[in-house]
Amino acid sequence: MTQNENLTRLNEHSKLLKFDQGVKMEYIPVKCGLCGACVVVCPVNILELDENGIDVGEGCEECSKCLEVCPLGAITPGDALK
Amino acid sequence: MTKMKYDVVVVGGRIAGSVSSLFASRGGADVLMIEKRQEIGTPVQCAEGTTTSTFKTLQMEPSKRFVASRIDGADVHAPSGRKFQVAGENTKGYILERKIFDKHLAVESAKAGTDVMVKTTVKDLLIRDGKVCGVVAEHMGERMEIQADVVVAADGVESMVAQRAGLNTRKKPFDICSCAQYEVVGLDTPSNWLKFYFGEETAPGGYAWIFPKGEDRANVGLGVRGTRETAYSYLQKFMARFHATPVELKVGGVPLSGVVSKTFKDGLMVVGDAAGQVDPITGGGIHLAASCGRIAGEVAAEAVEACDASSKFLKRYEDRWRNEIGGNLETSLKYRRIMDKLTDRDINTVVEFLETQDFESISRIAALKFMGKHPNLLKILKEIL
Repeated sequence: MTQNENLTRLNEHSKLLKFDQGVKMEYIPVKCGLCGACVVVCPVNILELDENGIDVGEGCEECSKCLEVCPLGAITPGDALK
Repeated sequence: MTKMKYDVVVVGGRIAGSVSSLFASRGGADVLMIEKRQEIGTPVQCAEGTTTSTFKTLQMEPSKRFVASRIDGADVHAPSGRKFQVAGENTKGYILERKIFDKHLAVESAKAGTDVMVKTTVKDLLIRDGKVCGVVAEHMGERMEIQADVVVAADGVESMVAQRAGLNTRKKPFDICSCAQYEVVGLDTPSNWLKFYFGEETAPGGYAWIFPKGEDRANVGLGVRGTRETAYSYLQKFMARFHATPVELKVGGVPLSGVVSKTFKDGLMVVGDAAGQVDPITGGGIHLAASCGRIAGEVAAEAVEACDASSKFLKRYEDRWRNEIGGNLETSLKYRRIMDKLTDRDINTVVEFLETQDFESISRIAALKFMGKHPNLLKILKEIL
């Protein structure tokens, strides 16, 4: 697999946590254990857990709290924070 | 939109939810329990250990069907590798098979008359004049409005219901213990003994555990707080110390912040993880969910009978559970704050002292002598107590 194909695959599985101002944080569904730890700590209440994964609403303030508590590393800094 | 009416609606079908609905039904109320997943009891997010008193609270016999093993005591390992033993009446307990146990509780509740809806998500609360009076739920794309005199929020650590009602259940990251656990086969460990491991290398801000489940199985897991690396990566490192085959992986966030400041309002009670009813040191919550669930169920039935679900009436739920377990939780939270300040070296020192003591009967003089020799520990204690 070429590097390009790799990137495409990753993007397919990623959903951006931040929609309005570019790529700040990434949620990687294939790594998600559906435990909801991130939902509990989000101070702006934009994360919601359903049976398929996390639903991300608008208004992320990039506090990184979700990233801190995720047991599986399913939330990572996006390009802008790396 | 379909409309329904119940005396009591319980949101969540794990231990706190099933026990609440069980005791509300037994008290004569017309009860509906709503579970978002299509199966009750899965996935398990728990190390499955509980006290013997749990079954007294539930008025049930501990059956072989869901008791995986009986526990007599525990080893507590310091970062240095030294350890002390705890064994006595207080350390007796069980490791459960939660998948079977949770289902059993739901079945008992249904037998007592509770209606159960699975694969049903609560989308919103019905609130009239500031009083919670039901829920809006969705099942397979169909919305329904369910009116209720009393709503019990047993919807876990991320409790949406309590939030919607305006109760603050948000947590800070450092109050959430990020946990990962394997159920393993083939680990050489005694079937009646727990093992705890402390230390910065192993599990910063938490501890690692081995809970035997009988038949050559065990839960091997850990919880961490405030780390850069994930709980999962710490678990990989911890597992490398043993020879065993993982057959299940479980993850979750355990609230260690102590209870939320208020667990009731007009028409609503909050129980279990949703209310933060978790021991802040051990992270254990089964016995607390059982105790508080029972009280919530009993109070719900009383409220229905009295035709009064005002916060003035439901306050008796909070009074009763605080009276029953509140003191223990406060003490535990104090000790957790002390433990948060201990360095690996401090823990080594404490464990070396405890190694020489009978944990159940440490004399005051021995403890004072020890503290006298270690002024830094005394300082931490003084700051907090």
